[in-house]
Amino acid sequence: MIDFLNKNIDGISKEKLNNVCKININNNFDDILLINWENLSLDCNLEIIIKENVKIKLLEMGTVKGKCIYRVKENATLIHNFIFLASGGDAFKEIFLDKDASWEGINADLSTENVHFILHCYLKDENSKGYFKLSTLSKNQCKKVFDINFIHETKKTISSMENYGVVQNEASLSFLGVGHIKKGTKSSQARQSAKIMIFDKLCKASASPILKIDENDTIASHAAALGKINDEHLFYLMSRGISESEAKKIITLGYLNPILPHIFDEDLRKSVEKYILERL
Amino acid sequence: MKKLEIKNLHVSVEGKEILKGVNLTINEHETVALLGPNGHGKSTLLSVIMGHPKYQVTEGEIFIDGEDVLKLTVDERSKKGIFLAMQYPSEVPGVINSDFLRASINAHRETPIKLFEFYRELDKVSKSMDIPMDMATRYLNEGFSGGEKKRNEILQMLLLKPDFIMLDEIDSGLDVDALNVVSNAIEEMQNNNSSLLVVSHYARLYSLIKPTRAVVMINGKIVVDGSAALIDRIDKEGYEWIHKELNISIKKDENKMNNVSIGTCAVKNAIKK
Repeated sequence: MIDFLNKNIDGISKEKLNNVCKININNNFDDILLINWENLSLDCNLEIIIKENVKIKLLEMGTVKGKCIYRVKENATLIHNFIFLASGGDAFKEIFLDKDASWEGINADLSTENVHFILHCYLKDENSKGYFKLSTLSKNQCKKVFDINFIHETKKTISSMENYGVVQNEASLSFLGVGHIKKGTKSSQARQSAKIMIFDKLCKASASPILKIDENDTIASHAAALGKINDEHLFYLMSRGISESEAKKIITLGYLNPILPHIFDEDLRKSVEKYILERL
Repeated sequence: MKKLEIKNLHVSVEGKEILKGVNLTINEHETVALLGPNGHGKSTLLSVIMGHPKYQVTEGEIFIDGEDVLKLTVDERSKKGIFLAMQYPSEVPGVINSDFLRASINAHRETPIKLFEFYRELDKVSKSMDIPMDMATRYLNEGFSGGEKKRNEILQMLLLKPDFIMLDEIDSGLDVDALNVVSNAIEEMQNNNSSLLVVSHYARLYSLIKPTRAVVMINGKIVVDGSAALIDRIDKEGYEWIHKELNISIKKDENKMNNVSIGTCAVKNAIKK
């Protein structure tokens, strides 16, 4: 992994203008680029520019106060992992996708603190694609809000959002977000899905994926499901001899584990899997 | 090596009585065909034996080798050797099929199965069932075709080797080749001395697995208990002769749709009702 914020790395240039720290990523990197916010703070807004035709994997551990902007230039790809294992906090991210650019973001959140995560992904040019997948566990007295938005600004753009959450004890969890398909964005596609599994009486959960569609020639869908463990699923597993507590654990893991194959570092993937098991 | 006894079983769901005094004994090594028109309680009976929480047993008893089944939880029933291959197996998102299968096997063992041993066994059984190994890495029943779901049920049966097996329309959604594969698996369990209670609407499956007895359920009761020759008669004549010969009026299936517009979310509610 390359911890690139505080080091000089070939292929990465940095400049500071007014209140913005700009980082240009000019080359492909086979290694994962890392920002560990657990040990850092920002004294300016951060802007990361992924240059034309560049493909990178960016791992961000934890959250940081202040705005982070990511500009994915023409035909570039940003594969993006947000991993919150310990501390929570506020995060505000903006992603701008140029022509044929692609952003694939996932967020595995197992933090034991409040989280308020706001993300806006702007599909600015033709054939740009944005995908986001979230697995989160909110327990004890945590309050967690994920506000994930995709804004389709031109035709032939694709967005997809899948948010999965488990809420336990007296915690709360809220999935917000708007998929906005603007006028003139013909042949665009937007999908939103939000599912929350509720464990205890004092939990609070809400999911309101919103589609704003100003163009007729589009494909769009949204779905939200909140509820306790499905009785039919529980019966099915128990009918094979699995105890009720083990069956509940397996079904709950099924909500959170699908994020694992998207975590690109193997050691981190194992850590996240361990955290999921421990936190449940 | 299991004997199942059902005595005067009455079962309700949401206040409506479905089973109205079922009496049935299935002896060791028997394969019993459970026949009857749609909506008369066959699947309900199988689900109740397995312990589905949706159904309330209001009266009656079920014993397996003399032990009171109704006092057992669903997983305890499985550990006693009871197995239900379901008509509509649940799709469980995010749960990997092989993880589920391994957990199921481990639930029946004192010590967990070693990974290598598990995959060797899974490979062997998958091959015998004509199931590609990649099905084990998919989410449990999610996106499976009807036939794949049924084969996955039978694969579980082969892995768990239960003593008392219930098959609920296991042949629906299977093509001819798959039906042969499934019937071979059933035969293997018959040779393993398991007892079976089999629900199917088609004589084809029965001709392959050769039941030792057949019973007919009408209006929530077993009204005919006889030899396997009953299967051929019902296949040729339907159930009307029961009305004529035994003077039992056969209630029509009451599962009706509500008056709703198709294409709205109301469809979901209508199906539920």
